[in-house]
Amino acid sequence: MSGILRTDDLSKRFGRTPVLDRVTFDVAEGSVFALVGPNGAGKTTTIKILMNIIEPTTGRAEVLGADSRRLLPQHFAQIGYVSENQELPEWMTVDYFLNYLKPFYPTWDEGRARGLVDQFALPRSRKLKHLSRGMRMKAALVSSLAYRPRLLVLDEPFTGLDPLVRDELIEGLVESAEQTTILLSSHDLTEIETFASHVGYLDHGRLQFSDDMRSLTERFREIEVTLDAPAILPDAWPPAWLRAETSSTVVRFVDSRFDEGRTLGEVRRLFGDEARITVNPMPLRAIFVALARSTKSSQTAA
Amino acid sequence: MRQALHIFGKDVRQFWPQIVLVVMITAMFAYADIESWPTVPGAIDSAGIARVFPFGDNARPLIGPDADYGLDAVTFGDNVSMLADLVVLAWCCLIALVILAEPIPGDRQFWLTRPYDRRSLWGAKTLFVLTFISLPMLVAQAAIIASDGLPVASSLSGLLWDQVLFAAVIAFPAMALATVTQRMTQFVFLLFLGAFAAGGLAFLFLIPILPLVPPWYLQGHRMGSLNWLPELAGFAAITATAFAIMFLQFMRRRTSRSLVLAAAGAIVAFAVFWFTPWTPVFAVQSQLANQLDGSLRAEISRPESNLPSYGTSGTLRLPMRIAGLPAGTLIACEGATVQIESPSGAAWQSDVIRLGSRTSQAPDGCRVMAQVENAFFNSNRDQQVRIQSSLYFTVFGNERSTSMMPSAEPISVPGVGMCRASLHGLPSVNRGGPAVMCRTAFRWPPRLVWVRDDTGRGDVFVDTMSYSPFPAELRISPVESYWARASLDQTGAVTIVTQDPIAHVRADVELRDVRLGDLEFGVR
Repeated sequence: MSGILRTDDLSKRFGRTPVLDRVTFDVAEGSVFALVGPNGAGKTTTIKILMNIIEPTTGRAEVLGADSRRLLPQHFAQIGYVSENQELPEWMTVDYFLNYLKPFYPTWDEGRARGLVDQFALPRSRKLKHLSRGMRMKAALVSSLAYRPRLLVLDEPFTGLDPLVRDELIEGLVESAEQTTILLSSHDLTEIETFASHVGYLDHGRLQFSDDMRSLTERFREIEVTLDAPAILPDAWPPAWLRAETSSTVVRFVDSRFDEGRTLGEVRRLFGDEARITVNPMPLRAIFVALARSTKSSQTAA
Repeated sequence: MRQALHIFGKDVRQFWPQIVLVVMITAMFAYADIESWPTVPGAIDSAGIARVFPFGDNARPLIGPDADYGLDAVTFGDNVSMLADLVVLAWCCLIALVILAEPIPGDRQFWLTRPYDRRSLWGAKTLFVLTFISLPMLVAQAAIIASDGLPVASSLSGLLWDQVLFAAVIAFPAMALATVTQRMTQFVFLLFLGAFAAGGLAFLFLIPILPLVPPWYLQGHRMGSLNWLPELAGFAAITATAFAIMFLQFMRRRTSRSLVLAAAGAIVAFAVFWFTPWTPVFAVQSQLANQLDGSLRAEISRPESNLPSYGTSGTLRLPMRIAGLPAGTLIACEGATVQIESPSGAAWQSDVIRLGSRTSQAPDGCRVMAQVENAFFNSNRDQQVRIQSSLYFTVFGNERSTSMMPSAEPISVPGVGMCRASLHGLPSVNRGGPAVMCRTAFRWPPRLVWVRDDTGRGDVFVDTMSYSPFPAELRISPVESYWARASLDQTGAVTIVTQDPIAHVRADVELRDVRLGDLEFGVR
């Protein structure tokens, strides 16, 4: 692996409760990596380990080439971190907060900081505790973008924000994405779809897959097969075909390894040459819903 | 260093109202302390000498022997003492506030993912404590000393040492405690829990009112003038624990380990305070003093034999006489061990019998009382036994005297402080007779100070002073005041005598062929 950030068999237990189970992924420099999954999947725990806020039980993580447990101030000077539940020094005004942080960062760009404050319409003299949730997130984001970090880590940055604020934040992120590697966690897929280049799906502490966005969306297709007679699912059902359902003469499923020639050939082999096949691309949200339900049903079956 | 100053500046900006409040409380304390010292004899208080640590030797009298405090004096002193407690509490809270500005336990603090240099953070917090707690304390103490007419310049070592002690025993442990908490409520809870636990245990050990704590236990744990050594060792344990916790927290963020360490440190400190063996303490003290030549010897006075007896106490009374003392010296009896061997070969060995460093018996030697095991005593009562004893005592020499006339103004007495002789002392102490009051900065000097009367004997100011070589004891109020009864010589003057502890001696004595029952105490 040669990423700016990587994990290697990362596991974490809180007492006897496993939270992460041998998670391995790699974030390439310049990418926007979205770590997605349902609530309680282990996204925040992963990020906290990466930021050396907590330590892994086993395995290791590397951030900017350093062991996450050995992150030094010079590493944090290149990392921006914004979290939905981060406790900010609420007694500070926006201006004082930014001025206080400025000497910590050799690359602090005062012009950029001012520009971001204006762009987000942050009230400079208002204390952080008197800001709305959205405003606080904006202030935190400004304080993490002003020094042009190499790595920006965002933990559920859009949770609970109204759509307008969310769009503003995303706009701010997209602008900085060219020069910054971004790792963000989210359980809201539509908001990351527009700008994530890579995605990792975490569920019950296990990384189900990690892939770049384009190959992911190309890999998944919703297939609808219309037959002349009532549909019956064959016994030899390919494991990569998820969420199969039948309705009268129609069979629907999600192919998680779509390859036009191979998939269509396999459908014809199972349902006959008369079968009429419709192939639909899937939005990210539909892909993850399919994955989540498929995982859930396989766990129930087990 | 630059980052430490930056964080320090932020903390000052955040907590300036609290800083102002705490400095005001400190100033109020200084003012009250200055006002509490009497301008006329009769209102001297003991409680004004505020001891901030519960393991201090509060049990011993703070004003000369036979001290009896008037109600007014105690009430007045209590107010100053309460203010001293408030000052310490305010300081601890300010320490907690500044540490909790960047709480160490937890996973949501913004500073965890910022380029904070941990040493700078630790340095900034320490700088804050030194600037807004130690410095105001130093200024307040200097003001109190100056207001009391004591020379500030010559008290500088005491001033600085008291800051070191306070930082090591109060401020740094408070910092360490704050580093394992996330919120002020947790800190206050732990602070009071610790204080109650320590105070409660100390109470159990000090006040033998429970069946579990028999009366001999209190006597058995008195170190007398040697108390400073286990106290210092206990302080060292507390300070080392505090530093270890701060290192773990600031540099590694290991709260669970720190909590375990805190509990272990508290247990070690408590054990050191209360269970340090007496004999090695005396050995250390001996090493710190000069050695006398070998002419000193002790002997047990042989009792008259076969006097009629009227009961059994099982307690031996061993009058020890010291011979070969240099001229002009006095002794203080520190402790003794006793071993008895019967003709049949049976033996009994005492623990160390602590004699409390009292000098009142000095001219006569030391009187050792040994509670012998009942079975052994009863079976050997009429036997001719051999008694071996080791007597530990301190020799005071280098006598210097200062004569002074009763006056309204105090004069400087070398080696003591500022003293004033009065024809009419504290009624409850001396029935209004002549008395001398002396004030010293930070601690009573580590020497015997007494007022000589016409017979060459006299009254000591403090019968168990500390032999500590350090210039201050842990306290906030920097001035001590003590009284002694005085008698005027033919010229109407009062003579104050000082004698230094010049040696701490162990003398081994033996008494052969003595009937055990003849040494029994109080049954004749």
